[in-house]
Amino acid sequence: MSRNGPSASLTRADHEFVDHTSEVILRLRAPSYPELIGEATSAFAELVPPHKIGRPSDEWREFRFDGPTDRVGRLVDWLNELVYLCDVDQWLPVEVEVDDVAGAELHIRARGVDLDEPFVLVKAATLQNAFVHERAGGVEGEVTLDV
Amino acid sequence: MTRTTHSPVAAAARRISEDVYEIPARAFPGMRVAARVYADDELWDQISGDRSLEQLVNVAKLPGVVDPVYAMPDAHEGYGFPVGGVAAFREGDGIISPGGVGYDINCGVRLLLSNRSAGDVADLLEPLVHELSRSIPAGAGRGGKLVLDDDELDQVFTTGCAYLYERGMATEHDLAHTESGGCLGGADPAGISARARARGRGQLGTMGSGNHFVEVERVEHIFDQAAADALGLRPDGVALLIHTGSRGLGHQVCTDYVARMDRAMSSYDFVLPDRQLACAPLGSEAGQAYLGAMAAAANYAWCNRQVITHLARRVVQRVLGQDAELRLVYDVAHNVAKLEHHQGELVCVHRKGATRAFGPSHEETPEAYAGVGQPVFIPGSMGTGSYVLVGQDVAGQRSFGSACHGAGRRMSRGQARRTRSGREVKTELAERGIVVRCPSLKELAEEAPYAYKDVDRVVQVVERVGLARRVARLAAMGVVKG
Repeated sequence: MSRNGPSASLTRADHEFVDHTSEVILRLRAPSYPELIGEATSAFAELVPPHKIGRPSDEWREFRFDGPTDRVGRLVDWLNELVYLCDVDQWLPVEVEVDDVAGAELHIRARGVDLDEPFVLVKAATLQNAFVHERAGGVEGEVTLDV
Repeated sequence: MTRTTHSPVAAAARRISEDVYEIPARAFPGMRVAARVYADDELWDQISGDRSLEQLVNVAKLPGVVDPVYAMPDAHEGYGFPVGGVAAFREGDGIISPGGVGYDINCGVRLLLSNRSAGDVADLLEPLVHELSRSIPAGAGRGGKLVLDDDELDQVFTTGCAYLYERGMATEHDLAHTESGGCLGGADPAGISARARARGRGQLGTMGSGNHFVEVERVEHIFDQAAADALGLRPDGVALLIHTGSRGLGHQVCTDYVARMDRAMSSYDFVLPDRQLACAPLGSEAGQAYLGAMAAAANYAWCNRQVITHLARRVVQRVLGQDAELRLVYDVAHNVAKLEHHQGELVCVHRKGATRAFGPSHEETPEAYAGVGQPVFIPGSMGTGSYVLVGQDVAGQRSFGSACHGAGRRMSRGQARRTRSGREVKTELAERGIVVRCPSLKELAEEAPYAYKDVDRVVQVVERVGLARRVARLAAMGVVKG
């Protein structure tokens, strides 16, 4: 994980997992909110054991998140979408194109890999202490995952 | 006496008796009622070492909350509510919060007694545990043997274990010895999303992962002979303890309703101290919709434990002989919200990681246990023993009829993995004669005994403050981990 000082512009996204009593906290930093969503996708994929990962899929899928919520709510919604996709569809997004339409709608195109079996380690992404903040040179966020 | 430990919230607490701490309602702005914690010195230090107390204080700020809110001695930080938290809300001006129930709706425990003694099964323990692990799907994923269509799922949601009785997978005795008869009223299948159905469709009769298990137990010690006789417990008797819940279906129901209520919070005239406490007035459309969906998920969970019971009965007959029986002692939830009468008022009691513990004279205590108390099962960590208790009447006044639910984690999963490997944990358990089957050595390490609080201490506090009385201690002979 790269490290930038508090006032430096972020040149790339990064993340870390912080172990807690009965959960895992995902900390994210990125130059922009769309890149933060991309980094959250990559971080989630890291949790999937390699032996579950099957064939790459050429299929692109589209997802829209709107309604009366904010950037935090939409980040949590996307992570919960990943939980569902890995459990029911056995499909893990690994490449995403993210459009944060005027901060009011999140539009995601994703390409992924098939999973040989469901991945259900993460039960849910929660709003517990979740945040997305603007910071110098980018954005940072945090979401607690129920594992 | 005021203790000055860990955090401002802990510092605001007064110790009002040996095992009772209280944070007064005036301690922090927004608190509507006091917060009470049942703990001895050591458990208090553990509870005040994470955000459990802050979360309990946040719960005390919610509208319509009844004085006081409680944390059980096994409490630890949860999502919104602390795990081990109990709070009641008035029917008229109170709320319902999915976070106050938790993601695993109606996670719970059931105890089944066999007609065999430990000596009878000693030579058959290895094949018994092996066959249980083969017959009861465990670990991550679906893989249940009972895949239901939408109509069948609807019947599970609305009639609970009665549906399995009709299909020959439950007995009348099972239904009579399950909390709420294995069916919570008011279930509304229409409130279950297509996503929740998809996650739950093939998971009935599966254990799941994490701290879920099926254990073969030996009755190690009897504390209360009269109560043990009523429950059918005898020294060295062999029993099965099952711990699981509503699987992916319950998780999705919680996710769906937290999101729905979070989006609607701006329409209410109160501000939440924590977004994960997203809630709705009990009488609102959203509140009623969640209650209906939660009841459906709770019924699914009771059916899940019943199907596992059905599978386990077939295994014990196959391994221990056709005359081998598993009689259900009781099945009780520890993640649910229920409308109950307390102190003359109808309230919605949220128990998140807390077990209902009704006393000998409560009308919902099963007839067979009238005069004894409703059974309460407290699983310890693997290898440290579990407890059978019975609820006490004074628990109605002291905890809305609730007790603890387990030992409670004290170590993160990563810390547990770093302490010892799964293989080492398995070897240590084997050296103590405990047969273990677990789909993942990594998860075995995460669930190691030292990752949990001292269950003996937790149960002793519960008994001293009068919530429930110890009947027997169980020792694990075999463990099938989820």
